[in-house]
Order: sequence, then C-alpha cells, then structure tokens
Amino acid sequence: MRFIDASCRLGMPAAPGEGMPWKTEEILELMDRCHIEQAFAYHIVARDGEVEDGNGLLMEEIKKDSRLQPQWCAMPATFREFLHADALGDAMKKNGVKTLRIAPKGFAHSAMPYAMKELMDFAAQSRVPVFFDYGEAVGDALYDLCSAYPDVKFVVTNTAYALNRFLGPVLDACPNLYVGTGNYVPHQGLETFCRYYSADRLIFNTNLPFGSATAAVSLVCLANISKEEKEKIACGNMERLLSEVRL
Amino acid sequence: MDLKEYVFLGKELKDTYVVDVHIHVGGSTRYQKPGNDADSVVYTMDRVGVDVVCASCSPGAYCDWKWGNEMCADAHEKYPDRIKAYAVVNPHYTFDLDAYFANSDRFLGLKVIPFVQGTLPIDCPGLQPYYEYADKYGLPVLFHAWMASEVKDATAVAKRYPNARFIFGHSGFTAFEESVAACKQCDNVLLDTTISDTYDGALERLVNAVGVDRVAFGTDLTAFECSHILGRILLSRLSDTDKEKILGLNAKQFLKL
Repeated sequence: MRFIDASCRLGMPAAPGEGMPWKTEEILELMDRCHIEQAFAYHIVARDGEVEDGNGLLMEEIKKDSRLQPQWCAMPATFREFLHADALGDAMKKNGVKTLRIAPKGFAHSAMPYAMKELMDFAAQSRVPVFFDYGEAVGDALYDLCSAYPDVKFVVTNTAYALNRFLGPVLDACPNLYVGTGNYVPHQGLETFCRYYSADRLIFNTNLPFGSATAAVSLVCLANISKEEKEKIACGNMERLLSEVRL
Repeated sequence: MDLKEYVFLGKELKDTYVVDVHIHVGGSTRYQKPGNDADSVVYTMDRVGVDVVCASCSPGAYCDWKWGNEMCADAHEKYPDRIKAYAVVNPHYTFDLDAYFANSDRFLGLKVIPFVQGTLPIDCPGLQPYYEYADKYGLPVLFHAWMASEVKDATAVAKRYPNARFIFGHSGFTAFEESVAACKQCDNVLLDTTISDTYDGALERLVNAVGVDRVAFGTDLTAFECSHILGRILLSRLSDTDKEKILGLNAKQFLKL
C-alpha cells in the first residue's frame, strides 16, 4: 500500500526528546521504513518562529529529496504582516505549494471572517486544502471555523482519543471537514469513522517528528476496514484533494 | 516472516505470544469509548493477534469500584483464557481482598490509580493494606504512573514490598529518568508501553536504558485503539527476538501466566 503523509514537520524543535528523529534525513529513513512515498511538510520556524522566513526555509529543506512536498503556514495579512491573498496565490504557484496550514491560536489571531475572510476566500477559490491542529480549534471552535467557511476544505490533524463527542456533530454539520489519522486513536476509531462518515473523509498523516510514523501506518494497516477504504485513507483522498487545487 | 511484515499485510500476529498488560473495560462519561465490552475486546484481540489481556474497569476507578470490579470479573468469566482481571482498589475504603482472591482466580492482581480518587498519592496510607496483601501473596499491581512524582512514590512502594510485582503504566515515556531509576533499584518492576502519542525512537531509547526484559506490551485498550502501539513495536528498530519479549514473553514470566 502506498502512503502519502499529508502533514508532518521539518526543522529543529526547541525541546526534542532524546532519539527523536527530527532531522530531515531521519524523517526520510522513517518514510522508507514505513512505506511512505511522499510527505507534505511545514517548517517549525513557520509555525513557532516567523511565518514567511519559515516557509522560505522549508523550500530550501525540501530540496534534499523530491519525496518532500511543501505545506506553507499562513495567517491574515493584517498590518501587511503576511502576504495578501493575491500575492500568496502567486507565490504558491511559483513554488509548487498546494496545501496550507493555519494556527489561529498559535498565531494569536481570530479565526472568524472579520479577520480571516480574505485568506479563506482564497483557499475556497483555489481549492487549496487547509490544515490545522485540533488544538487550534477545540470543541465549539471546531464547528465555528468549519461552518464559517463552508467552501474551504479543512483537514484537522493531531487529534486524540477523547474528541469524538465533539467531532461527530461537526462532521454531520460540516461536510468540508476531513480528519487526519495521525494520533486519531479511539478504540476501533477508523472502522467506526468509516461506518458513520465514510473513508472519504480520512486523510493519512503522521505529525512527525513529534508524532509517530510507525503508529500512524499501523493504525491504517491493521484497521478492520476494506482494502479500498485503506487505500483511500493512505493516499487516495489526499491525491483527490490535490487534484482539485486550482492555482 | 519478519514481524514487521504483519503490519504491511494487515494481518493478525501468528506464532507470537502476545500479552497486553494494561487495558480497560467499561464505558466512560468523559469520552466516547467504542467497543468497551468483553466481546469487543476479544474481537480486537483477534483482529491484531493478541492472546491475553489484563483488564481493569476504568469507570469503576472513578466512582463505584466494587461495581466496576464485578464488571471486570464478568469479562474474565466470559473469556477466562483471554481476559484477566485487575481489581481496582480505593484508598478511601477498607476491603478484605480475600473476597476477591481467596480460593478464586477471578482476579489476577490489583490496579492502583489514586489520582482519580481525590488526587491521593500512590504511597498514601489508605493503600498500604492493599500493598501488604499483594506482598503477602506475591500479586501483581498495575500502577497508573504518569507523573514523575507518581513514579517516585511507586518506586518507594516497590522497594517496601519486594514480594509484590509492580507494573508501572505509562511511565517509561512520561517520566523517563524516574522509570530508569526504578528499574535499577527494584527487581520487581516492569514498565509498560502504554502511551497514546510519543515519537518514533522513544521505545528504543527506553529499551536501551532499562534492558529489553523490563518492558512489556500495554495499550490502554479500550480507552485507545491498540494497533498503533503494537505497530510502534513491530516497526521499531528492535530485533524480532526483543520484540517478542516485549510483546508477551516478559509479561508471561512476570505475571506467571
């Protein structure tokens, strides 16, 4: 089975665990070990340092291997702190970037339309999938975000085991929400999800290096779902989202 | 066939004895737990190739522990060769454990998790009679040992009661230094692999520090899925011989299964 990691992270963490495989070469080794063909990565400097510098560092880092694809972090263009939508679209097209990651809490801005409308209108029109960690929109905020921008395809990553009672109603109300499988670990989680919401809304990812590629791959491979469902989750759904991007 | 191949084939493990030393039965008011009954546990065990699980009742730990223990014993009685039961104890109550253990194999050992019972420490006075009982009869005790302070307390207990056998749940990943120290100081301590999320390489780090004989497979099933933790082991850099020890052989010896 082919795997495409829809979201992982490159760059030097502030506090790596001993033996954590954060170097790009180590992540590539894990990809080989886990049969991951391609990985979409954002840069830790873009998430925890400075967004545009981090996106630039990412473009340099992924030159090391063609299996690495860029995922840019983005924020509203308030005070011209970040690119306006038109300029962002041009830059993404020029650099072959087809996915974005937002972090409203981490970047300390509102996720509501008065603050993010321009950026989200761009994502909707270009059909660029927008990733965010569950910690950026917990509980009701997950519904608020997904319902505020119904034409944006959102992928929530870095979930956990205890969110299903929040997640289910949002999946019911917001067909534009997809779930990253990295650390989505309720018991029988994938098969229950497929039964109620279909495999079409699950996207394989690892959250490397803080998350685990070995765990993420095993979750999919050992789930009691059909081969077709596994292939959709492992790579098919992500390929479908990418094929819809219009930049 | 290499053990890692079972993952990529999506097949249950065969010809490898697998014991999960740390699971839960019962639902939860705090979050959804699909498949938390005995039948569902055995279904999952068969799906991935687990031979034996050792279970406690998690909702019982938070409230009526006797009710929870009966639920867990019922699961064991339904599947006596597959599900073994820990009796949850509560430091706020005195209880004659002979009711559980004398002339009966309904329970394998004890589960201790006092932080959800008034945030009491593991080494609190109310738990000493239970430890004395475990020491007297050589029973296994599974600690919820997440925080460094819990691991330090658990280590003090393990030193004081050398005839009891203690499994430190979670701690090898959450309180590494303290767990390594516990293994160095106490022969009667085993660490389990239960963690919902940690990085690749953390297992190898733990094994390098304490030795492969001191680590046992645990998953927190049904609070979590178990396949991701199984996969961490199967796809790790460890040898198949070491993987087999972690997956079942260490627990078989330690728990006298």
